Amino acid sequence: MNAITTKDLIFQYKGAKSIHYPNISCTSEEPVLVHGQSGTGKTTLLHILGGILSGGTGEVNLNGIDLLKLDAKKLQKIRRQQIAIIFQTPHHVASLSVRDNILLGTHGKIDEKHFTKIITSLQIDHLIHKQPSEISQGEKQRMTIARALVAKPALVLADEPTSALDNERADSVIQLLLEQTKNIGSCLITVTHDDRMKAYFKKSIYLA
Amino acid sequence: MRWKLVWKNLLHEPLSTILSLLLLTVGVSIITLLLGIKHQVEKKLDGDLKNIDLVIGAKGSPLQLVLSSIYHLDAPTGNISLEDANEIASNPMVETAIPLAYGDNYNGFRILGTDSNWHQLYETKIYDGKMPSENMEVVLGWEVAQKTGLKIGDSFEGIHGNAEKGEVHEGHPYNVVGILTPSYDVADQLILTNVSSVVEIHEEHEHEHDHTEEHEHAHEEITAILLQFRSPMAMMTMPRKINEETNFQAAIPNIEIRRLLKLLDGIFIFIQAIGIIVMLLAGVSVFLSLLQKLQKRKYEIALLQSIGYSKWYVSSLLIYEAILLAIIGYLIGFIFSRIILFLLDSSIAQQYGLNVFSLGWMADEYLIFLITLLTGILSAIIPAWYSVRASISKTLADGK
Repeated sequence: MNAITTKDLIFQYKGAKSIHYPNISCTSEEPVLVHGQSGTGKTTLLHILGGILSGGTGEVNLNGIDLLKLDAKKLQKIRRQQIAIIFQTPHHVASLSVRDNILLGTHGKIDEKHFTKIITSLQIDHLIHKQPSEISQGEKQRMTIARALVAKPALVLADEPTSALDNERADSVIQLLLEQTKNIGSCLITVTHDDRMKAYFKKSIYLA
Repeated sequence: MRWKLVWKNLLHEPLSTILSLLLLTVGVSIITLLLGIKHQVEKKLDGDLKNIDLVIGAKGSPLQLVLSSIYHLDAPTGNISLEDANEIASNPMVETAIPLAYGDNYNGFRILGTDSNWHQLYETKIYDGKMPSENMEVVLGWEVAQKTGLKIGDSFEGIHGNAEKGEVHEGHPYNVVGILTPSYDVADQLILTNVSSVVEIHEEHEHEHDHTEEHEHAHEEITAILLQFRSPMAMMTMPRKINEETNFQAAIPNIEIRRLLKLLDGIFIFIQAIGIIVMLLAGVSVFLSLLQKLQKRKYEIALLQSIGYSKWYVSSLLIYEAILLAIIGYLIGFIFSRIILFLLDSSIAQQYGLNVFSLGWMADEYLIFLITLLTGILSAIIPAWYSVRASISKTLADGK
């Protein structure tokens, strides 16, 4: 079973107050919601856990590996093999089709069956041959969720994944995230300030 | 995925791609074209020299004498007496002496009266028929046969001078007895006969004019004589002796051709400098276009890194993009320069009856390819370095 834990995690931006994070423990069976107001360090936490922000102290343990102790090259390898991040803004490669954007996360190891299942569940199967410029913001967000799930990572980190979605779509997307991460055995940590999300998670951490 | 992404990125912003390609293409075209022209002109001029040490003809421009006697390009400087020419030819320092007699053409192709030494020198081979053995018999160069449609057994009358239209030597038909195999030198463009045929026609031509006008063809005259010496020592003495002690002019083809190439060199260098400047501009254009793309793609670059693509992979996308641009620019420039060379060649062949340019690969073109590639790589290095310098986290956070 995949698991991620943090212990005494502290981060400080240059010239700013340090952020002390509560200890987090997340498994594929027990997804975690991190919520709090803007500016409390939610996105920073997500970036540290995702291995794209270094400089923190303490411990971030993903399946027995302390991410804070890894050099850049090893961290890149971990990101490639074990981590997927869903950003608040649906970043994508403008020149690639929706399908190719989703498959970026697989690094060439494509499981067509899994891919079809994901895009069908996210209701973007009819969009895969379009360019990102031809689809709506909500559809782009679902495209980035598909990119995260299609790679079957050990850890899925979602930063406000429902912010661009209406209630109905937000419900289906968060259900899908929970269901799919459970199916593929990924740990899911979601950071948000969207109160609608609390109902879906048994375990939540509040950042003040 | 890498090349696919590079290709899609190129196509995604067609305007900047086209501008960079246009500059690269123009730069490559100019340099390749100039190189091609220089290379082929030098090769052609050197190839047709055939180790001829000295050309003797009437006084005038030495370059004109060389161009008319060896390359059959310019008008002859005048005529020399056959008797005096024979005297020079009998000099013990002379190994081979080849008489040249002309003054007529057919459809723009020169009719040259010469002897078997000329055929030996140019290593001509019979494709069909035989070599001329009687007066008024001719053998046709390959291009002449192709373009005039003359066949063995056909007869034609020569036209006086070098112009296609002029006074026809009526009643003196030449008979085609042979066609030469293609030799890709001046032999392809000539109609060859013996000296006495040309002399005979012009003797009679002179009589027809009733001696009332001063004519360039005097009795028993030829146009020039080509010499090969037994020893290089002859080169030290004979040209000076002929120039000082006779009414003739002795021109050393090698010197005249070097002088001509030196004159052309200045023009080549000037135009090549323009080509290099255009290439530099192309490099700057690729550089600026990549910097601009970098700004637009900063989130994509950060995203790719967050997914686990390495810094090298991400920065190589820009380098590969520049390399691909350089390769495409080079290929289009190369094809474009070949099309121009082909058109130039056709035009020169039509005007002067000479095929100057070969469309094959030239050795120096590897260098141009490398320079083009280097231009692409150098223009991409700084943008590539910048692409992975920024913090992934900060970029993605800023892009909220």
